[in-house]
Amino acid sequence: MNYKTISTQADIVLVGSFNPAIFHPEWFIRNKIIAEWNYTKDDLLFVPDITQVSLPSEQYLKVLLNQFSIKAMMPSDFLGLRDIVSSTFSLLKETPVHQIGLNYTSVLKLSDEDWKKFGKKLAPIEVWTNSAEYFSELDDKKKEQAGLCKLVINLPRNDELNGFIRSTLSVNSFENREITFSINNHIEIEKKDVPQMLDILESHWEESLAFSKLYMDKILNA
Amino acid sequence: MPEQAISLSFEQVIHGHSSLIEGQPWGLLNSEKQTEKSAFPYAHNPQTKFFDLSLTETGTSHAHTPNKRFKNQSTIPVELKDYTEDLKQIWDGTVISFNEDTIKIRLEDKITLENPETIVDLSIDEVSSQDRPLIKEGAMLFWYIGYREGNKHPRERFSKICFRRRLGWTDKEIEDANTIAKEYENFFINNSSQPA
Repeated sequence: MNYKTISTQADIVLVGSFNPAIFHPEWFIRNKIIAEWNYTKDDLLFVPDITQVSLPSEQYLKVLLNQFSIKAMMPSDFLGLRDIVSSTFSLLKETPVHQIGLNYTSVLKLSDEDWKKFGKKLAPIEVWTNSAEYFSELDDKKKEQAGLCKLVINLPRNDELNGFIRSTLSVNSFENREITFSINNHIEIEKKDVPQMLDILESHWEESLAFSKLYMDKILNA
Repeated sequence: MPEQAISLSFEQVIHGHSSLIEGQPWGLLNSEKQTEKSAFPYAHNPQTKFFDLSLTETGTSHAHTPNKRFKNQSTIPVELKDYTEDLKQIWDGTVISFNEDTIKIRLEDKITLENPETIVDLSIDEVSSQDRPLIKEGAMLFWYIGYREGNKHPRERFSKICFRRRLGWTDKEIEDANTIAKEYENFFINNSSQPA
């Protein structure tokens, strides 16, 4: 299939119990987790229950009371995300962490020809259009609007961990023929503690990135 | 997307430079388990949600609006950056020694795992000023080589070295180290009586 990658991102999401107030840029700098950088007030949203920080090198941090997430927009920063999370929570060892998501997302622009074919390959449209009695009476131009908008597929994990691998494919822009393809590698942290979360992160992050990229390539070229 | 083969050798000093990069709009957070109604914009409204498998706590929804500045009261303004990266080679490196001009690094290929380790001398100019304080024996790094390309950004090769900032050892790392140490111990004990 002919497509162009518009953007790629990877993110690590933790669900648990967090104190957003901790995660000020100064905390990361003083603890040598991130190199010192000149952040401005535009890079920072720091209110009692939400912290959002625009980190160096197109990385973004968001912390809510029940979620910690960090994402990188450049593949050359994906591996480094693990180190930031690992270092952060090696200092915050008592944080209750229940779940972890190792996520990978690409935005892709399809060729005109593939735009028409790809959705039909993944989700045959006839079941849906034949079930709408009015559909046969529509003009051809309207009929062309029928098609895949969003698809979610759940896969079981192939290891001993509880969780799933869930792929979501959705239209990002009809006008630009762009789709968003996300893979959520979700893992339950049985002990609900940081040490187990860190072990999972260390042993699964690279593997998850490699799997997501390969899986996405295979689906797109199926 | 067609793969472009590039010839890589350590003798090539690849000087990449990155243009100013800008982020993209932050997607909205959705959470299935928020049973309490929250005042925050990121709270999921259970009334609008049916059985939607895509809304998990650990997945991030990707509200992507290319080339638009997304700004509201509760998110930091970002813009879509202009280029993407196509990584062709990644090495895991460890500093063996260094002086004021060069660093000797042992590299493990992360793409072709069966390639043997290589030791290279790298100019200290390849290391960003922010990472230079991290240069010491045993320091770990990643070295990336690839291409950057975008609508307004011509295709160019880049080389990026990132020193790793790690605090503390995880239990698994300690366990792995103990396992390897035990293997070495057993090897030397079992082979210590053999003549050289």
